Amino acid sequence: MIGIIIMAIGGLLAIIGSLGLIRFPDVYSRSHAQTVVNVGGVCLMLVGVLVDQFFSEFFVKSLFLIILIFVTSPVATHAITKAAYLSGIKPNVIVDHWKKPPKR
Amino acid sequence: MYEYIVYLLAIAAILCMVRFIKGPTLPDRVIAIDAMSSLVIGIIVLLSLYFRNSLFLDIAIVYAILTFIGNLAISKYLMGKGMHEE
Repeated sequence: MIGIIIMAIGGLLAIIGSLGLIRFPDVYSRSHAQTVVNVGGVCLMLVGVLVDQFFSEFFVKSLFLIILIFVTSPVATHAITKAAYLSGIKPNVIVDHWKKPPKR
Repeated sequence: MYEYIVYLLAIAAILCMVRFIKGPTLPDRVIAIDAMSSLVIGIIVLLSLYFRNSLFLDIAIVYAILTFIGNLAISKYLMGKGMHEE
């Protein structure tokens, strides 16, 4: 029963993250909301699977899947945001540390 | 009991689909597809719990690895597109 509750919290966090994915104004803030969907939603739901199916074959594969998502999701998000910056999308910030100095 | 959580994840996937249709630039769409694919991983895990068959979890692991590789390939493509404009 505790596992089902944790899975439901993960599903609600996924809905909240995708609402942020709709509502945020910029690519970079949308990537922030997408991390909520990945780590807060799906990984918390897999933790619920771990609690629900304790020490079975579901436990081992879900643990491997949690470690995989935790390692690969920030790497992919960081690569896509860096590529978005390099392809010319300007972030809506005051101080931009990566901006190139003007040519003389 | 697991099907209600599938409903929650499906609503979240539909909301990500809205951003995929509306998104003005290409990285928006890539980010929305990444969120949708992780939601599909969650749905596959709940499907394996529903049928009591642990072979679906192998499919989920392979899907996670393929999503990661696809995201890295698209980010390399976007980087190359930015470099030529300078």
